[in-house]
Amino acid sequence: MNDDAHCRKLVGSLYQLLDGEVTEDQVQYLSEHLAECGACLERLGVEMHFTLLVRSRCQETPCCPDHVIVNIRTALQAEVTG
Amino acid sequence: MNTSQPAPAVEDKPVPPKLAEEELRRFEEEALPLANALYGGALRMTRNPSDAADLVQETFLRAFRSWGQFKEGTNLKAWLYRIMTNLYISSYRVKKREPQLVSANDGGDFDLYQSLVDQNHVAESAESIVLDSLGDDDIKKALSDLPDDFRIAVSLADVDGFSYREIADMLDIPIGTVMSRLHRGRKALQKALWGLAEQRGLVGQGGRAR
Repeated sequence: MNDDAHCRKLVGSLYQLLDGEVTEDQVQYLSEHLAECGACLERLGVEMHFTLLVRSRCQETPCCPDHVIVNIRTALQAEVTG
Repeated sequence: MNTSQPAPAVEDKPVPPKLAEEELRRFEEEALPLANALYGGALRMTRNPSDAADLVQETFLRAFRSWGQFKEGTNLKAWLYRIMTNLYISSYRVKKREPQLVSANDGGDFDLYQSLVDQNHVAESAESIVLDSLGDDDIKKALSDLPDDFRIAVSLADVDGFSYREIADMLDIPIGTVMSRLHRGRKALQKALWGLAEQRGLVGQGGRAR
């Protein structure tokens, strides 16, 4: 396998690696490649950064409004008392 | 057959009120604190506060009715999300079915890394990328503008932090489909944000596909 093929293989499983969804064998193989390929390491860094960017910027949402909680409690109580 | 002794008709008996009250208290203690997390997810799914409120309300009601099926010790948030995504897909999405312009919004194989390299932005990649200077609202809007399937997959994985398996179970799709939606959704999001960065003059023209 030449360098390009190793890089393609990394690109192909980049998101799995990032998401912690790789097998131990894959981790072994991918980390060996990352140790010797600066471009792939940078690529992984960029994708990881992007994912964290989305998480940090989109995670904050308004709290569930109080009246919704009240409605839920009322509906649940009705389930029990009939 | 001995008919003199009626079989115990457990199913026919209503749940003793005291027990039901106990179950309700347990449900309120364990599940209700997740209302904020669910509401956030519901907002990302429905994209409007009133539908999100209805969806969360309905989710808790359904969840309480199936509370007996929840396995203690498993992920309660994932279980509630599963009920919620099912509800969303079966009712809310059908109700407001929008044309799915997947091809138009598809990121294809947009290559964020290569685009940054082309713009000589990659040296800064580890600590920051040029997209960082976009506002929170820009990023939320770009996520919200993704086609339904992509938006839901990216939200569940990247914002809510669920695993492929959990997402597959929630959406009733194979893991391979989760991976493909996630891949295409992330690329589409990158492409949209790159386009925005171009418009704002943060990067030169010429984002690049692989």
